[in-house]
Amino acid sequence: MKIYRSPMEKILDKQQRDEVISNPKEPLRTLLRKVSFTLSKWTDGLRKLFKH
Amino acid sequence: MGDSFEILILDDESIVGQRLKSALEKEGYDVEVFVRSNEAATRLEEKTFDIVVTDIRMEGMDGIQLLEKVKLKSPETKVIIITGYASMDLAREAASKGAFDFIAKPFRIGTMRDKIMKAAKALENERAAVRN
Repeated sequence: MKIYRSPMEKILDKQQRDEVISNPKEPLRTLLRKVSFTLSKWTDGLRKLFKH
Repeated sequence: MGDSFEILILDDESIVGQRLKSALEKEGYDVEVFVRSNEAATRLEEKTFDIVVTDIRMEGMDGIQLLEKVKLKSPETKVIIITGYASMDLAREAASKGAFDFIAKPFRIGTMRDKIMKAAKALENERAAVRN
Protein backbone atom coordinates (compact mmCIF):
# COMPACT_ATOMS: atom_id res chain seq x y z
CA MET A 1 0.00 0.00 0.00
CA LYS A 2 1.38 3.40 -0.95
CA ILE A 3 2.08 5.88 1.87
CA TYR A 4 1.43 9.54 1.05
CA ARG A 5 3.28 12.36 2.75
CA SER A 6 0.32 14.73 2.39
CA PRO A 7 -3.31 14.82 1.17
CA MET A 8 -2.12 16.86 -1.86
CA GLU A 9 0.31 14.14 -2.85
CA LYS A 10 -2.53 11.63 -2.76
CA ILE A 11 -4.71 13.88 -4.92
CA LEU A 12 -1.91 14.44 -7.45
CA ASP A 13 -1.13 10.72 -7.56
CA LYS A 14 -4.81 9.93 -8.22
CA GLN A 15 -4.89 12.56 -10.97
CA GLN A 16 -1.88 10.99 -12.61
CA ARG A 17 -3.32 7.47 -12.29
CA ASP A 18 -6.53 8.66 -13.96
CA GLU A 19 -4.74 10.46 -16.82
CA VAL A 20 -5.63 8.87 -20.13
CA ILE A 21 -3.07 7.94 -22.77
CA SER A 22 -4.49 7.86 -26.28
CA ASN A 23 -3.59 8.61 -29.89
CA PRO A 24 -3.50 12.44 -29.86
CA LYS A 25 -4.13 12.64 -33.64
CA GLU A 26 -7.42 10.71 -33.63
CA PRO A 27 -8.65 10.18 -30.05
CA LEU A 28 -12.28 9.44 -31.00
CA ARG A 29 -11.39 6.78 -33.61
CA THR A 30 -8.95 5.25 -31.14
CA LEU A 31 -11.71 5.02 -28.55
CA LEU A 32 -14.14 3.46 -31.05
CA ARG A 33 -11.51 0.88 -32.04
CA LYS A 34 -10.99 0.03 -28.37
CA VAL A 35 -14.74 -0.43 -27.88
CA SER A 36 -14.80 -2.75 -30.89
CA PHE A 37 -11.79 -4.69 -29.58
CA THR A 38 -13.32 -5.01 -26.10
CA LEU A 39 -16.57 -6.36 -27.59
CA SER A 40 -14.56 -8.87 -29.65
CA LYS A 41 -12.73 -10.01 -26.51
CA TRP A 42 -16.03 -10.53 -24.67
CA THR A 43 -17.54 -12.41 -27.62
CA ASP A 44 -14.42 -14.57 -27.83
CA GLY A 45 -14.63 -15.25 -24.11
CA LEU A 46 -18.31 -16.21 -24.30
CA ARG A 47 -17.66 -18.47 -27.27
CA LYS A 48 -14.93 -20.31 -25.34
CA LEU A 49 -17.23 -20.57 -22.31
CA PHE A 50 -20.05 -22.19 -24.27
CA LYS A 51 -17.65 -24.42 -26.15
CA HIS A 52 -16.70 -26.00 -22.83
CA MET B 1 11.27 -3.03 -5.89
CA GLY B 2 10.98 -0.13 -8.40
CA ASP B 3 14.56 1.08 -8.50
CA SER B 4 16.00 -2.25 -9.72
CA PHE B 5 14.02 -2.34 -12.98
CA GLU B 6 14.94 -0.70 -16.26
CA ILE B 7 12.24 0.10 -18.77
CA LEU B 8 12.37 1.12 -22.43
CA ILE B 9 9.33 2.88 -23.88
CA LEU B 10 8.81 3.28 -27.62
CA ASP B 11 5.94 5.27 -29.08
CA ASP B 12 6.05 7.56 -32.11
CA GLU B 13 3.91 10.10 -30.23
CA SER B 14 6.36 11.86 -27.91
CA ILE B 15 3.65 12.86 -25.41
CA VAL B 16 2.96 9.16 -24.68
CA GLY B 17 6.54 8.44 -23.71
CA GLN B 18 6.86 11.66 -21.71
CA ARG B 19 3.74 11.01 -19.63
CA LEU B 20 4.61 7.37 -18.99
CA LYS B 21 8.23 8.21 -18.13
CA SER B 22 7.12 10.79 -15.57
CA ALA B 23 4.66 8.39 -13.96
CA LEU B 24 7.00 5.39 -13.88
CA GLU B 25 10.04 7.29 -12.61
CA LYS B 26 7.93 8.37 -9.64
CA GLU B 27 7.55 4.68 -8.83
CA GLY B 28 11.34 4.30 -8.85
CA TYR B 29 11.86 2.72 -12.26
CA ASP B 30 14.68 3.80 -14.62
CA VAL B 31 13.04 4.77 -17.90
CA GLU B 32 14.39 5.51 -21.37
CA VAL B 33 12.02 6.84 -24.02
CA PHE B 34 12.26 6.65 -27.81
CA VAL B 35 10.04 7.88 -30.64
CA ARG B 36 11.90 6.15 -33.49
CA SER B 37 11.95 2.36 -33.67
CA ASN B 38 15.41 2.19 -35.30
CA GLU B 39 16.92 4.20 -32.44
CA ALA B 40 15.18 1.99 -29.88
CA ALA B 41 16.45 -1.10 -31.71
CA THR B 42 20.02 0.25 -31.58
CA ARG B 43 19.67 0.91 -27.85
CA LEU B 44 18.31 -2.59 -27.30
CA GLU B 45 21.46 -3.96 -28.95
CA GLU B 46 23.57 -2.00 -26.45
CA LYS B 47 21.61 -2.74 -23.28
CA THR B 48 19.24 -5.37 -21.94
CA PHE B 49 16.12 -3.89 -20.42
CA ASP B 50 13.90 -5.64 -17.89
CA ILE B 51 10.69 -4.37 -19.46
CA VAL B 52 9.97 -2.96 -22.93
CA VAL B 53 6.76 -1.07 -23.68
CA THR B 54 6.18 -0.59 -27.38
CA ASP B 55 3.58 0.73 -29.78
CA ILE B 56 2.83 -1.39 -32.83
CA ARG B 57 2.23 0.91 -35.77
CA MET B 58 5.35 2.97 -36.38
CA GLU B 59 7.48 3.96 -39.33
CA GLY B 60 10.27 1.55 -39.99
CA MET B 61 10.35 -1.45 -37.67
CA ASP B 62 6.89 -2.14 -36.20
CA GLY B 63 6.20 -3.26 -32.64
CA ILE B 64 5.82 -6.94 -33.50
CA GLN B 65 9.21 -6.98 -35.23
CA LEU B 66 10.71 -5.22 -32.22
CA LEU B 67 9.08 -7.80 -29.92
CA GLU B 68 10.69 -10.61 -31.92
CA LYS B 69 14.05 -8.85 -31.82
CA VAL B 70 13.86 -8.35 -28.04
CA LYS B 71 12.81 -11.95 -27.32
CA LEU B 72 15.62 -13.27 -29.53
CA LYS B 73 18.26 -11.34 -27.62
CA SER B 74 16.81 -11.58 -24.12
CA PRO B 75 13.88 -13.99 -23.73
CA GLU B 76 13.43 -12.99 -20.08
CA THR B 77 12.60 -9.36 -20.97
CA LYS B 78 8.91 -8.62 -20.50
CA VAL B 79 7.40 -6.87 -23.53
CA ILE B 80 4.15 -4.96 -23.18
CA ILE B 81 2.38 -3.95 -26.39
CA ILE B 82 0.33 -0.75 -26.51
CA THR B 83 -1.75 0.08 -29.57
CA GLY B 84 -4.53 2.28 -30.86
CA TYR B 85 -5.31 -0.37 -33.50
CA ALA B 86 -6.14 -3.30 -31.24
CA SER B 87 -7.74 -6.40 -32.71
CA MET B 88 -8.07 -10.00 -31.55
CA ASP B 89 -5.76 -11.16 -34.35
CA LEU B 90 -3.09 -8.69 -33.28
CA ALA B 91 -3.47 -9.64 -29.63
CA ARG B 92 -3.11 -13.35 -30.51
CA GLU B 93 -0.08 -12.65 -32.71
CA ALA B 94 1.59 -10.63 -29.95
CA ALA B 95 0.89 -13.39 -27.42
CA SER B 96 2.21 -16.10 -29.75
CA LYS B 97 5.45 -14.14 -30.16
CA GLY B 98 5.94 -13.83 -26.41
CA ALA B 99 4.36 -10.52 -25.43
CA PHE B 100 3.73 -10.31 -21.68
CA ASP B 101 0.68 -8.11 -22.05
CA PHE B 102 -1.37 -6.22 -24.62
CA ILE B 103 -3.06 -2.89 -23.85
CA ALA B 104 -5.46 -1.12 -26.20
CA LYS B 105 -5.35 2.68 -26.26
CA PRO B 106 -6.90 4.70 -24.70
CA PHE B 107 -5.78 3.50 -21.28
CA ARG B 108 -5.21 5.13 -17.90
CA ILE B 109 -1.67 5.63 -16.63
CA GLY B 110 -2.77 3.73 -13.52
CA THR B 111 -3.47 0.68 -15.70
CA MET B 112 0.03 0.84 -17.17
CA ARG B 113 1.56 1.22 -13.69
CA ASP B 114 -0.29 -1.92 -12.58
CA LYS B 115 0.85 -3.87 -15.66
CA ILE B 116 4.46 -2.78 -15.11
CA MET B 117 4.24 -3.87 -11.47
CA LYS B 118 2.87 -7.24 -12.60
CA ALA B 119 5.76 -7.63 -15.09
CA ALA B 120 8.30 -6.65 -12.44
CA LYS B 121 6.79 -9.16 -9.99
CA ALA B 122 6.94 -11.91 -12.64
CA LEU B 123 10.62 -11.09 -13.28
CA GLU B 124 11.41 -11.18 -9.55
CA ASN B 125 9.74 -14.59 -9.22
CA GLU B 126 11.61 -15.96 -12.24
CA ARG B 127 14.95 -14.69 -10.93
CA ALA B 128 14.25 -16.12 -7.48
CA ALA B 129 13.39 -19.49 -9.05
CA VAL B 130 16.69 -19.47 -10.98
CA ARG B 131 18.64 -18.66 -7.79
CA ASN B 132 16.95 -21.60 -5.99
